[in-house]
Amino acid sequence: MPPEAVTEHWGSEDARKQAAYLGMWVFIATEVLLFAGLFTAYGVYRSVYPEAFRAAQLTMEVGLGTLNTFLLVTSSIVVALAVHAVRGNRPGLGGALLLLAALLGVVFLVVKGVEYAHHVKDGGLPGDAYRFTEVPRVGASLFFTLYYLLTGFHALHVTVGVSVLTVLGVRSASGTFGPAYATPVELGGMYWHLVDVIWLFVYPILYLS
Amino acid sequence: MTDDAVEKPERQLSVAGVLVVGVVLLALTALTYGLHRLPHGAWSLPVALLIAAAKGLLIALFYMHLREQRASNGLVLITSVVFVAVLLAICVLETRTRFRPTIPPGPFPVEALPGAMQDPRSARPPEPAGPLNP
Repeated sequence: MPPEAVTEHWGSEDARKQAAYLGMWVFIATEVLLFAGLFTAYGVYRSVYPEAFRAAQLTMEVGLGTLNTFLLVTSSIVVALAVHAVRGNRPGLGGALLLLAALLGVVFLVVKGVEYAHHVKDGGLPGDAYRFTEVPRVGASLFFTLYYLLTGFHALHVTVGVSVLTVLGVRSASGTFGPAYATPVELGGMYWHLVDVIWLFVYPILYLS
Repeated sequence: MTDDAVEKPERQLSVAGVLVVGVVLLALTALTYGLHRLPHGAWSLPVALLIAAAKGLLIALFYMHLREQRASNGLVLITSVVFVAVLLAICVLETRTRFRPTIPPGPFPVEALPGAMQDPRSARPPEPAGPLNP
C-alpha cells in the first residue's frame, strides 16, 4: 500500500494513480523529443550523403542487431507479464520476471559491447577518429558518429532500465508490491517499454535499409 | 465507475492477451528481418519504419497501459510524436530541396580567422574534401 499520507495528499487513490501515470507520460514525451534530435540529424545527413550512408550501413552486423531486437522485445513481453503478476497478487513471480527482464537487458548490453569492439578494431570510429578504409571517409564518418550517439544514448537508457528493473524485482520479491500498490512496477515497466520502442526505430535505420 | 475513472480494469490484458500481443511483436520483428533479406529498394526504409510504428503502437496501447487509462494521457504521447514528425519533415525537406552547391562536401576542420590568436588546434591546414587517398 502507498503511505496513507500520499493518498490523502491527492484526495483519492484514483487521483494519485492518475498523477503518477500522467507524470510518467510527460517524462516519456521528453525522452521521445531527446531522441528526435538525433533521428532528425540522421535524416538530414542521410539525405546529404545517401551513398556513403548506404556503404557504411552494409558494414553493420545485422545478425547481432537482430538478436538484440529479439532480446529487447522478449524482455518487454516478460515485463508485461511481471506487471500482470504483481497486479494479480503474485509479487514473488512478478519479481522473478522483472529480474529475468533485467538479465535480458544485460545480455543486450554485452552484445552491443561485442559490436563496439568489432567497430573499434575495424576503425569505424566517430568523427575525426574515423580510420575505416573500406568506406570513404566523407559522410561515413558522420554515419558512425550518429551510430555511436544513437546506440550510446540508447545503451545508457538500457543501463538505467536494468537498474530500475533490478531494484523493482528485489522489492517485489520481498512483497512490497501487490494489487493495492503496483504503481512503481507499472511505471518502471513503462520506462522499459519506452527503451524497447526507441530501439525498434534505431534498428531499421542503422542496420537494415 | 464513471467516465472519470483513472483505470478501466475491465480493459486489463489477461496472460493470454499479453502473450498474443507478444507473439505479434515477435512476428513483426521476424517480418522486418525477412523483408530485409529479400531484394529491396527505395521503399524498404518506409516499410521498415511503418512496421516499427505498428509495434510501437501495440506496446503503447497494451503494454504501457494506454488502453486502460484516460485518453488525456495518450494525448501527451500523440503531441510529442506530432512534434517529432514536424521537426523531421521540415528538416529533411529543407535539406532535400536545397540548391546542391550549398551543401558542404564534408566535415571541415576548424580554421582560425585571419588575425585571430594562433591556437595550435586550429593551425593545421584544411584537409581536402572527398575520400582519403593514400
